[in-house]
Formats: sequence, structure tokens, C-alpha cells
Amino acid sequence: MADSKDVTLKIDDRDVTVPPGTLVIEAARRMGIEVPSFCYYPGLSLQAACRMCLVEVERAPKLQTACTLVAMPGMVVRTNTEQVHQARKAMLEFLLANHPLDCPVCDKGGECELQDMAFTYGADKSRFAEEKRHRPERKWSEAVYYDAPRCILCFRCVRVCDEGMDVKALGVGQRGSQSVIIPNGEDHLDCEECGMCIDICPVGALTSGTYRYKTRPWEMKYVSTVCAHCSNGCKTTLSVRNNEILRANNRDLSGFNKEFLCVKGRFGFDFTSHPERLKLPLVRRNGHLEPASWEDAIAEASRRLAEVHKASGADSIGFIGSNRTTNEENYLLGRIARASIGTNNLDHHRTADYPSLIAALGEKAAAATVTMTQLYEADAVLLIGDDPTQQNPLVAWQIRAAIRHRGSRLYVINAKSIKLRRKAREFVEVSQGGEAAAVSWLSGSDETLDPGVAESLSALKSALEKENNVVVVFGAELTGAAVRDLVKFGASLPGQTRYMALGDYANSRGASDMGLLPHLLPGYAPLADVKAREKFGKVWGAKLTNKPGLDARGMLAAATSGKLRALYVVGANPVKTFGVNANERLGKLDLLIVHDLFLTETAKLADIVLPAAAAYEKDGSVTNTAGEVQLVRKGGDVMGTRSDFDILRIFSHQLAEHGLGQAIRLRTPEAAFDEIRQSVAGYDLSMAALLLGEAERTSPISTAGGQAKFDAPVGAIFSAHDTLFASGSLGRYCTTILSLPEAGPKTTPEAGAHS
Amino acid sequence: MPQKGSTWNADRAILRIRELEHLPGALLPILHALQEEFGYIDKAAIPLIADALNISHAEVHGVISFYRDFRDTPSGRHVLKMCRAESCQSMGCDATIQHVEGRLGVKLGETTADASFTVEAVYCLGLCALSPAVMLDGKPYGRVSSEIADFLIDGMQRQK
Repeated sequence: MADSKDVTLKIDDRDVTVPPGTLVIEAARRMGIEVPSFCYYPGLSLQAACRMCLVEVERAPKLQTACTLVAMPGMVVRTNTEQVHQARKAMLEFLLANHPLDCPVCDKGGECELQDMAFTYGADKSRFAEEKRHRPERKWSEAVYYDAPRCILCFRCVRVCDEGMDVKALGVGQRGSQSVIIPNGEDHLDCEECGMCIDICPVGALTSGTYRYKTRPWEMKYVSTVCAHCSNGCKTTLSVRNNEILRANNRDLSGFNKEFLCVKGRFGFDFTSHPERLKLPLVRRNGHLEPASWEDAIAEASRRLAEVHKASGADSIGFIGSNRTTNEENYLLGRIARASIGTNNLDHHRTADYPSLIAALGEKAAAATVTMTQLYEADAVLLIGDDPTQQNPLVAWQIRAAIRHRGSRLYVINAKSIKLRRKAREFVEVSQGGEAAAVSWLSGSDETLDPGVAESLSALKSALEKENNVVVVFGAELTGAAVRDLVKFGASLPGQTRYMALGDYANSRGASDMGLLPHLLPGYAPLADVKAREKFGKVWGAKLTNKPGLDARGMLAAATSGKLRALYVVGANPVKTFGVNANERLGKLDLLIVHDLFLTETAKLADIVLPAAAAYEKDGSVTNTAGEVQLVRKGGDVMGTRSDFDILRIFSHQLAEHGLGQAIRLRTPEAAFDEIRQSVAGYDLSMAALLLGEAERTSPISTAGGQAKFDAPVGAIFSAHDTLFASGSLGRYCTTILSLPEAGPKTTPEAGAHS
Repeated sequence: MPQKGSTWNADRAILRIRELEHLPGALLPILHALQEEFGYIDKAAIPLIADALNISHAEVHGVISFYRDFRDTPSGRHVLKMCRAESCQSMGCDATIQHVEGRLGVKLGETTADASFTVEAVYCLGLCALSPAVMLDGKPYGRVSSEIADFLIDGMQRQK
């Protein structure tokens, strides 16, 4: 829709109307006219260093750089004239003056912007007779290598590191033809190791330590999936050759994370080929875990579980699910627990209080939560708790980008001086764990605070009252009643306040949405709700009990006291996460079944261990912390493993043979997702959009109404506070990430290593 | 004027940084001050400057390496800058440079073992009319043949 302020100009004899301030290069691209460029990168500051985008502008004395030229009314631009072609050819001649012609061995060969441009616009020979300058290649870190002669000095890497990441690890040294990119640590990088510089490099100057010299781009297939680590759900493209994942990057920029990936998204895929990966089921015989066939392991698992059920009843069995497995797998696990076994002893490691937020928002829940894209569009962000730079890197990136591009304001309440503080208008430092008290104070309670904190909080409050449509982002520091207080405070602010809760892992939100909780069915339907029980009972072919179940800590305690006889763990490491004494062997359990990728602390105690496929090795869907659902795709494959989906499905058939529940007849994750779309509130999403690789937001509405409880038991919801270089138990098997100096001494893993 | 003493001292460096850090665009004045103080800019100064100005180490290093006049190693007591630009080359500076290199036993860019002389190449001193030109401790000289170069070096060696 044309605005009266819009500008109309002519490019290559066609009129185009663009908003004021649009650059000519963008206007041309909008029309489908390619103006070549290296240094221009949307979202970064302008450089005009490469001179590739020169265009002819009527009445301008000489060629102009389209990347810095703002479109003006009546401007007449030509991109396809002899003069422009000459200029492009000449520029490429200069860029290639010292560029080595080592394309046949260069990693970038085949997907190199310089190569493409030289083919399209370049001359067939160079007039430079001088010898090319050579400089040796440098290893800046395990992740990043720099090959100076290939560099064309577009400074994209310097800008993305400074402006985008706020790390400022790269600079420019020397000058003129001697210029080189230099790292901050003299000869090495001291940074967040995100590898953004590698992906953004238009040539092969910056190469990835994990990928270099391994393969060529045309020998791989590309699988678009969702990162397996934190809860932000960045889209990542796996480059796969012979079922082996060789690289993860952002090839098509189609996700809501666009070009962004952190160190985990880019380098944290090698756990899939870790030598300790489990490839055969293990069954404990005479006190030792010994390899077994899939048939024997699953048959034994179901037989023994049925025995426990018969001997001690349904409530002597507990289930702990994963916050990394797909929605479909979580849904199936919930079904097995509630329908096949008939217990509500079902939980997972909760890292954010999604149920409380959804309950507190009530019917507004869909409109009052933000997606990652909407976070970038926010004018004001209030960040309470968490350290997004470390724990939720995309959230931090979106906030920084909003500040940089749109002048958004950031307000921070935190017990630590987190890095995002540098970007904040106001920073309120509360005491350790004091976030909830601060929120309670803001909501108008008579909470007594330290006078200094109260003073800065009231400054923050009056600043927020001048804002409109604030987005509140909060971590696991706020749970239960604090979330309710927060929503109360948000309602007092002008405009519509919207929220985002930050969890820890790739499907933390999905585990919650799919009802891996003792008191909630999928879609946050309360167990007490007869209609909801009847609905799921009908779908699952069983009568669901409303007998309250145990949460994860409750199950572990019951295992110690002997009340719980069997525990079924899918992709979680409760021994580590909940700090159970491993020597007690989880109490008096008769049966411990674990699905996992590795022999974790919990799996070591198990009676039956089933080797599961990782997140990069299966199809399904995951939901990020903002409630955006995306499909994950099978990239690699490890012989001997099976997806949790298959294991659970087969398991249900076996249980049915022992007279427990009905066999699950959903053959594929797609079929299960279809059932989820029909039965889980908020998941009736457009399949077409998902299949096209888009993210669709769920809109669950809590039906709890007045019954909502905000008294989550203390310690039920907590974050592992993983850094950029840690990722639960899974992080212990990411060899590349652990090799980075910034990863420091081994971190304490918290959550399941799983998938 | 011979170069000043070149013993690095972090406290003195911090003082000089403090004096100037409030200026807009303080980086260049600080670098000049440190070079004046120590005769070169020690690597240890980079983190101090970066912290004071809230810029990255890479940026400070980038600026130091951008300007040829900033040194990152101590120089000799005397610095002889010899022009190698077009005009001086066509007037025979290469012969003079070879002569000086031979006499002092160093290559361009190096410092003599006794730390008395640093010889550097420069590209144009703006004295093309008097090519070949050199600059000795900040003072320009024109028409510098091998004999005149000897004369200049002799003069400095006598001085000490």
C-alpha cells in the first residue's frame, strides 16, 4: 500500500515506489534486479568498501554506490549499461588482484559469492602481472580459521561481530593493500565463538574449524531443521554427506533467526557422531549392562513393566520425559503413562513456568505472548532474570537488533550484571534470587525491599509507564505467584503488555504443551476437568484417572522410599538434574528403563537402556520457548538407534499384548501430529505453513480459569543456567564446543543428554 | 632530537591515558602521548586503552597498525626515515639506502644491535623537489647521496 511519503524512482526504465529512506540497492532487489555487492549486508552499517554495486544515476557526474544511495523522488537509475559493466569488471579485477585462485581446494568453492560474481560479471583475464601477495593461514580458534589472501576486505565479519553480536572481537589492521582482519587476542580469538563471521564471509577467508577441507558443497544434501540445544528454536541447515552431519549453518536464511546462530547451533552437532554414542540396547544381567537385541530389550521392558503394574498397581510406576524430544514423542509418552499404564506420575525437568503464564493470561494468552519476530519489533523490552546472551542467544540477538535498528529501549532486572546490561536504559540489580520480590513490589504489594533497590525500581517503573506495548521477557526466576504478579503489573502499563517466558531446551515448551506434567493434560487442560479427561480418554481408548500424580522430585523421593517400583525415563538425566545420590541406585526400584543417546548417570543405573536417535536424526515437530512450532527433519542416521517415537509406539503394542491399554496405531510422526492438531488446544496449525518451513505459533488458552494454581512447588521449576558452551548432558558430548578455550573447565550438566 | 627513553611503565601510561580519555576521539591523542612518552606503544598498553575508551583490543591494534608512525617496538636512539617513493627512486635513493644498510649492518625497518639507529622506509616526505630525501629524528634533509648520509650518521654518532 503506497504511503503519501513513499518515493517513486525509476530503475532500468521501470518505476518503483519504496518507503522513504530505502537504499537504491534494496529498491532494485525488490524489483528483482540484481545489483551485485559484497560489503553491503542488510541490517549492518554501510561500508561502501567493495564498490561492486556502482550504478549510473542520471545527472550524477560519476557512478554511485547503490548501497549508500538513498532513493529520491524522480531519481533515474540504470544498472545495466556499458559503463556499469565496465566498472564491475574493473572492480573484480582489483578484488582478484591478490586473491589466490585456489578455488579447487577452497571450502567456499561452489558457494562463493566472489566466484559467482567473477563468473557473472568478471573479465576472463587480469592485467595484473605482479606476483600475488601471500600470507600464511591463521588458526584463530578451534572454530575459526583465517586465510588472509582470500579476504576481499568487505568488513562484514568486523561489523557483524561488533554490531550484531556486541562482541567486537574483530578489527582491521594495517592499511591499504596491506589491510588484514585481526582478532582481538593478537593471534587468536577471545569471543563467544558464534561463527557468525564464517557464515557471513562472502569468500573463503574465514573458514570453519569443523568443516574445512572435509567435503565440497555439491556433495552434500541439505536438511533444514531446528537446533537441538536451547529453547529459542533457531532454524539450522544441516549439511549431510553419507548420513554424517558435516556442518550446520544458515544456508537459506529462511528461519526467524535469519542469519543468526550461536556456537551451539553452528558447531554443536558433533554429539551425533561421538564415539560413546549408544548403538545397541543394553539389558542388565547379573548386575552388568549387556548388549541385547531390540526385540529382546523391548519385550523384556514391557513384560517387566506389566509385572510391576500387576504386582504394585499403576501408581507404582512413574514417567520422566524429556525437554528435547519432539512434540509427537512427548504426546506418545503422555498417552502411554495416562492411558496404557493409567497413572499421572508424569513430569519432566521444567525450566520455565509456561502453565502459570498461560493461566495468568487467561483468554488473552494468544495475543499476549510474542514470537521471536515480534520481540524484534518491540519498542520496549523489560527483561527479568535469565542471561539471554548465554542461555537464550537468539533472544539477546533480537533485543540487540531492535535497539540497533529501531531504537527500542531495554530495561533489565537481574541479580547479576549480565552482558545485555550494556544496552539497557535502566538496570536494577536485585539480590540473588530477588527477581520475584521485585516483581511483587512492582505489582503493588507491600513487599519490603532494600531502599536502594526500591529506588531504582521506582525509576524503572516510571520509565515503563511512559512506554507503550512493553514486551516482558523473563526467566525461570519467576514462577507461580510471581508470574501472576508480573501479569498484574503488566496490565497496569499503557498499551498491551506482552510476554515471553524463557526455558532451557529445544522442546521445553513442547514438553509442557504436550502435558508432560502431573496435573495438566496436553494443551494445559486440567486433570480435574472431566470433559478434558473424557476427550483424551476417547482419543486414547482408555478411561483416564484424575488421581493426582507425582512430579519429578516426588517420583524420585517415592523411589527412595520404595513406593515407586518402576521408572521410565525418556531422554532425561534425573540423577544429575535433580541431584540424586547415584550410589543409592534410585532406591528400591524394581525396574528402571531409560532411552538415551549416551550412558548418562541415570542410564548407568538402568535395567534396560534403549539407544535413541538424536534430534538431528528424526522427523517431528518442536515448539520453541515463544510457542512457535517448527518441523524437525531427519539429517543424519546412526545405525542401531531408533527414534523415541518408534520405541514408544512399539512399546505400546507390547504393553497392549500384556493387557495394558491400546496399541498406538499412529505409524509416523506426521500421523501423530495430525492427532495433536485435532486434540491438543492451540495446536490446530496450518500444516501447509509448517511444511514450507515456517514457524507457526500455538495459541493455547488455559481452561483452568479460576481453578488455576500458582503455587508451583519450590524447586519444581529451575533453569540449568547453561552457558553458550554448555547444553545439559548433551553438551558433554559436543567435542568441538568443549575444545574451545572459552568453554573453560568442564561445566556441570543438568538435563538429559537426549535427542 | 633523539628519541626519548623507552622503558615501558604501566603507571605512567595510565596517567597519560587518564589525561586524555575525556577528549572526543581520544584514541589518536592517547597513542601520540604514549609514543612520545616511551618512544613506542607497548602491547601492554592496548588493553589499558581499550578499557579506558570502551573499544575493542582489535580496534586499538588496528589503529596502531594503520599509521606507520606508530611503533610497537622500541626504536633506536635515532630514527632515519628514507624515502622510497617514485621521485626519490628515480633520483637514486636505492643506492643510498644500500649504502646506509651496509654501513649500519641493518635492513630497512630494523634497529642496529647497539640500539643507536633505526632505519625505516617511508613513502614520500613531500620533498620530491629535493629527492632523494630522508628524515632524521624528525628533521628533513634533501639531495641525500651516500656521502651526505654518511655525514648525517657521523654527526649523530659524534653527538652521543
